[in-house]
Amino acid sequence: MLFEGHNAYITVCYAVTALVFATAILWVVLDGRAQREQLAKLQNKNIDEIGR
Amino acid sequence: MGIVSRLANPTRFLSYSSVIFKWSALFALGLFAIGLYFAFFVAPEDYQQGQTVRIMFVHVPAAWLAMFCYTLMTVSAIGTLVWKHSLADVSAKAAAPLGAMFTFLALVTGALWGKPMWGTWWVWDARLTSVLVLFLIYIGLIILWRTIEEPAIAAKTTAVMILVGFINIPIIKFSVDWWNTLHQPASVMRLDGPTIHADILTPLIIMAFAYSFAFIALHMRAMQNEIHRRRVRTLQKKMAMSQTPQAQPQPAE
Repeated sequence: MLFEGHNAYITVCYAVTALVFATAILWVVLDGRAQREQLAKLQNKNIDEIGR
Repeated sequence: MGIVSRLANPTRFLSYSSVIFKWSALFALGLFAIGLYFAFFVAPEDYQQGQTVRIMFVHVPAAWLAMFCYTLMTVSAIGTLVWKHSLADVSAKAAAPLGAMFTFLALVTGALWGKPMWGTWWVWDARLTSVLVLFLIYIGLIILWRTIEEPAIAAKTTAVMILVGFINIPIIKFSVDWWNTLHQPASVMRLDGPTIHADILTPLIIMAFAYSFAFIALHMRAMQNEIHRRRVRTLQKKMAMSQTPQAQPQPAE
């Protein structure tokens, strides 16, 4: 085959794609957790202040 | 508009978007598994490109999603400007990093495909340059959202900028027809039908659906996160205001 020996390009392509998708998943999961925790903390604080 | 208004309620959105997220993530996983199997074990080598044609299965869907994401942001921008709905801005803001991600993937995998096929990583032709411009537009919009503190002003300003930037989408699509480029012309989305053999077209379509469902899942989660971020901001503002001592009325002299 004329273009044999290009396996490294294919491997890097799929590896980069997997890495970018993994980063995006990690970003939405960590950001979601941080926002929910902060919201819960503020809601609890708010309830405490109203109760006082 | 009644149904749209009801569905666009942020609290209602949080509940049904979780269901959409779950099913989209499941579909994406299944389609990625099938698509990758077809890409590596069913699709034949190209008679000219050999194994390198397999880069197409990750490159082309990334480029399609990069353009689709911007089109979705444009529709959301219209929603922000015309109906002034906060969820429209949430949708656009959550989609921008994902659009940047797909554009980045299209650029990187394109360079990795270009080197063995064209003998160069990059060339300043119309298609490649317009996709790079799209990436820069995404980055610019993300910076704009972060720079403007007041959400209502940020929403309007970015919506206008999104509409202006949409001019780049038809330029990307038709760049290979309007100008003489190193990039090949369209071979799937053509009026006279695809010019790719079914054995290679099938995994490409499956991977395109896998990317689309992955985008929907990520977009739903990113929108939920943005709604929570805005609630945090509102609550912080409310608490800060309640802690500020009220101005005492001064006795008249």
